[in-house]
Amino acid sequence: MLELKNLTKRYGERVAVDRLSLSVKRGERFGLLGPNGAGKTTTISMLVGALKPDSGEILFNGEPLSGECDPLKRKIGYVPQELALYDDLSAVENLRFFGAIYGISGSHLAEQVNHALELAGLTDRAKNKVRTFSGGMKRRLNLAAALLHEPELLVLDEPTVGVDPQSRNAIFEALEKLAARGITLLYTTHYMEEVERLCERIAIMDQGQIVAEGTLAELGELLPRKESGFITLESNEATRELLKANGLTWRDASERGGLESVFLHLTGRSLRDE
Amino acid sequence: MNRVFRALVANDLRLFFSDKRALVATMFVPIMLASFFAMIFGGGDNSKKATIAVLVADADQSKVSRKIIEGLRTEGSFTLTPTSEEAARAAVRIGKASVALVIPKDFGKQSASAMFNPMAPRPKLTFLYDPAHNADLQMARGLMTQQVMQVVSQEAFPNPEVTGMGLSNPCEMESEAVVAKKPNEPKDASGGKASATHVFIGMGVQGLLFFAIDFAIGMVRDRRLGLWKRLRAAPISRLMLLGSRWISSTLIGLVVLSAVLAFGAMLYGIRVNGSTVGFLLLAVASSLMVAAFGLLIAALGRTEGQCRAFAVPAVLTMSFLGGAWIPTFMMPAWVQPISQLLPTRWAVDGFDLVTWRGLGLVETLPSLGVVLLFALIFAGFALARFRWED
Repeated sequence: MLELKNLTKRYGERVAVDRLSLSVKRGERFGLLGPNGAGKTTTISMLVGALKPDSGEILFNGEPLSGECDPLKRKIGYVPQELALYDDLSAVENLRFFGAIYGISGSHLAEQVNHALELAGLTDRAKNKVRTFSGGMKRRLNLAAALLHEPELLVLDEPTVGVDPQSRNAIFEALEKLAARGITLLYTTHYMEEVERLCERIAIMDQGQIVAEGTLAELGELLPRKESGFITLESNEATRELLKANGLTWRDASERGGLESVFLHLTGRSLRDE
Repeated sequence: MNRVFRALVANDLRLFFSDKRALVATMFVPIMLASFFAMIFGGGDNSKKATIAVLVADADQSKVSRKIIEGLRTEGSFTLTPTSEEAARAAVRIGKASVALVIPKDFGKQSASAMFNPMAPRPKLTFLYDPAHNADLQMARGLMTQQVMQVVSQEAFPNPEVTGMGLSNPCEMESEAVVAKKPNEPKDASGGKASATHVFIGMGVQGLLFFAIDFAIGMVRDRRLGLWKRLRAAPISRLMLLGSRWISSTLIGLVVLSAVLAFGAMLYGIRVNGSTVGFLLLAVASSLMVAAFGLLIAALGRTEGQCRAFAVPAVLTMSFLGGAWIPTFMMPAWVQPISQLLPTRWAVDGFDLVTWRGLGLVETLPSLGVVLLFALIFAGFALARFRWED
């Protein structure tokens, strides 16, 4: 469905995205994982047409995406990292506007707005101004605003930044519903657990390039054997005593540690504060 | 001091000083404005005295009339340009000259007779004047009286010992306010409503400019909030995105201008005495120009602070030099050509023409054309320089 071929973007001397290529299949839930400054947002911005690539090609359903007014853009929904909403407008006014810029109007727009509000769990607050919303509500509305034109591909750029666990869960439930309807998801984040929960296939990006791509299991194979060895032990008193006798201490391990280990192994442990 | 409070203050200072361009502009603005006003009203080179342009229609062409004109020229307060009465009237009517002096035929002869004989008919000197330039009229009348008395008495009494002992006033002086229609201040020629109209037009134009700053800041804020990115993800061209902003801001500008002028109409009785179509077209053109100026500010400013820092001095300069605060004729001569480079000057002058001067659409076309040209230039620059990728 979506193919990025040798996509490159420079900012002066700095190469933000470096000959990046990847493909996403129809109906797939694809995760683009990377540390801050890896080039995820730049890639997404080029994909949705907000940024012009220096070179490379973007194909959607086999056709190249070109030009600001390309009708193919109607098939893509975009949830920006920022809360791109008008604070002084109500939720419903925001949604009407973001539907209208895709040419939707009349009863169809009203219907789409209602569906989006329902999906975001904001029907009760439809007429309230966005500035009265909590961070989580704004995030949900930010997602809803990308759905009004019924996109085939939904591109989400770190859509859960700064939200409470409930809102994050609500966003995930909404995304799972959308995926169940056949909408393709391209999800960027640096939260491992989100990718693990949502995505079938993952690409890890660093310094403008894809450094690994595959399913969670396939990526796990990339770890050196000595680091990825697992011993299954039953958590009981006898096990703890046995370990203690051998100078070892029992500690509950999170299942999420797997992907995080892969991620840190591939992208390093140094901070990315650029 | 409370540690949290100190941290809050320090953070604000850090934010303020982190935007270097805004910081420099913030420091530079008061310095620039202070220097500017000091140069105009205080210091600087004032040795070159500003003169008033006066047209002279001398139908007499006598020795007396020529001497009077020469005397006025030598005095140095006026720049005199000979012309016909008809041309003088036309020039004053459209504001090209503030005062014109009409010397009738046989003025020399009749004035000498009138000086000897109070019963003899007195010739009439006519001052055609622009009601907005009342001070020029008063000055011209004063100096003219002095010249007439001096020249006529010299001609009548060549003996220097009796010079100045006028027996009777040698002529009458009449002032005629020249506007296209009857001036809307029939009771006096002090320019009362002309002044009020000018003030409301000036403040209306300035109000538009300040609105443009707010609009530009709003656009930059939208960019920072990611709204532009979201809009650009839709199948919409850049031209449409900026064009729609241009039009919406023009419409709001028209509302602002209408509100200011409606207030002036209700409270001060200002009226459109000339072409209503011209007035409406100028209102649209001025709003388009100012809205495009707003787009330009948004295009040039990277942050909201930078927009404010660049735009405020630009708006103050455009307002002041464009004649929005005080009429441009009250400014030094060297300011006149500079002010003509500003769209505000053309907008204000155009509104003057169709309101209290009572002129038609044709006379307004140059102002209209220049204001629209500036609108296109501003919009073109904005489109070329807008930071889409920030």
